[in-house]
Amino acid sequence: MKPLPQNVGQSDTDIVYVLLAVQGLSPSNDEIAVLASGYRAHRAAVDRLYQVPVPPSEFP
Amino acid sequence: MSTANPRDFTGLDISPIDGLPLTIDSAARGLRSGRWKSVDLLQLTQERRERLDDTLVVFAANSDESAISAALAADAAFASGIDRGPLQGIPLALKDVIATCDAPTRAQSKILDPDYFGGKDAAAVALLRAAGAVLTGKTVTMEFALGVPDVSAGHLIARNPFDTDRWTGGTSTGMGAGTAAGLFLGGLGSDTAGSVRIPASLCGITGLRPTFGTVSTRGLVPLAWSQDTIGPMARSARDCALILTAITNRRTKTTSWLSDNETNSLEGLRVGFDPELTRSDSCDPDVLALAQSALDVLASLGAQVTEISLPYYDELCTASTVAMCTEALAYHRENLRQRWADYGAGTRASLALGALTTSADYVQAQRVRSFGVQEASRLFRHVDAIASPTTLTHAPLLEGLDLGAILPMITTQYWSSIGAPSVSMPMGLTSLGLPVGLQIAAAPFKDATVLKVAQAFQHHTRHHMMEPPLLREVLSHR
Repeated sequence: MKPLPQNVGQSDTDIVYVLLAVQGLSPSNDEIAVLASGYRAHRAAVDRLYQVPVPPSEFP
Repeated sequence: MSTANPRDFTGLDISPIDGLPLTIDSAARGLRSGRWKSVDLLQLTQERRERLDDTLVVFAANSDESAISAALAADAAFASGIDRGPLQGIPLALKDVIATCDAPTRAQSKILDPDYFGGKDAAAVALLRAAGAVLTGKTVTMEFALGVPDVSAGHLIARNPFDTDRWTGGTSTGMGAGTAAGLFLGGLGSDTAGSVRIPASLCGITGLRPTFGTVSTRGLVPLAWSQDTIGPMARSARDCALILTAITNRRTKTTSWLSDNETNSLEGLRVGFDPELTRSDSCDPDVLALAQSALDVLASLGAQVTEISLPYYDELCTASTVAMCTEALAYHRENLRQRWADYGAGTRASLALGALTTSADYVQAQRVRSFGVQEASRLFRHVDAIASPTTLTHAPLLEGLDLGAILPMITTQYWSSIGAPSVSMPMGLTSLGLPVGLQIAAAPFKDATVLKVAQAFQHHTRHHMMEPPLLREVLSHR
């Protein structure tokens, strides 16, 4: 894992930075900014998957 | 403005520009009547390639040596009375993510070993060769069948033959442009979230995503294992069926996906249409009008067209994206860590999306997809097939194209998510003279149903016989 910045916070940019760093990826600041700009909408769409009434037994 | 080519007096579909048969079916009949030899067909397609490929950027690598050997072998077989089926002697091509023994597999990547799959033929390619097909080369794709066209990464970018400033649709970009321009008569693309159907729509050809698992993906560079398919691209549904018959897995082997005795009637067939898909701001009014006309054609053939609502549409599209990006990251992660800069910017962005979801998200996405299969099967008790525009607009301009603009314009991902078959076929031209496709989907393993609907539609329309105006401009000046 890449070292995290000391001032890591709660902004979308920080979250995206950490998630990518966990995977050892090294995007530029510009790339992180672009991903961060869409992160909230992406996260909301993914969270809606948990609202689908999938039966508890369902596992592919 | 393009016009669809009429049949010639022998009943074959032939280009009036240079005499190239437009379909595999016509070429196969002409080969058997002695009108052409396979080497003639190869030469006609190679002449088109020489005159058009600098403009259209279709080929990533050609296989001229093995192609001429295969054409001569096909002609010798015909002369000896050996007939291995309708693909014998037919010039085809392959998307450059499908391994072959006679050309490098690059996937538009600086990273992939060109000897991918041990330099052997992918399973589907071996079946095409066994059927006597003449494989002319590998066609341009987007990097690892992902991302967006990226000039800054030095990528080859295929051009739409209806307007070379516009995108072909991706990611089987070269297959779309090359089939529309007659640089070959069809071939194989790959489709994870729409990569056969989108270029089929935007380039005015027919492309089929078969039911997941119907065609072996051994030898295909993976994008997302749980959604990857290899599918036929050609001018007509009948041609797609001929290719599918040749490459189908032995376990699901069907003698033919289309009967020669099809009545081309859709009497009694129930076709659903979800009006919500075309209510989006992304939907071009021209596309909506063309879709309505296409539905009228289906109704005139006897189909009962009814409004339906696709269950969990947004959620199943999201589940497809989560699964795709997560699986793609798993495949690419080690290379991304070591060689980040060797990937194009658009590809990096798509792969990085896979890092923004958790393992729980991935599992939930797969559970939603499984649930979606059951929900769709409930819907398919009431309809046999579902129609929609494949893309909600015609081909966008290449300049300024970004991934955010592409996703809202496609309706293909839903069917990928549940592993169902769907075909895109031309339904006409927008006011700018650009083609768009009608998508027909059916329940998993009902590939024959989507092909039957498409064949009936194409029996009564000629949109699929349209050649881009560029061809006449270029090929008429010798």
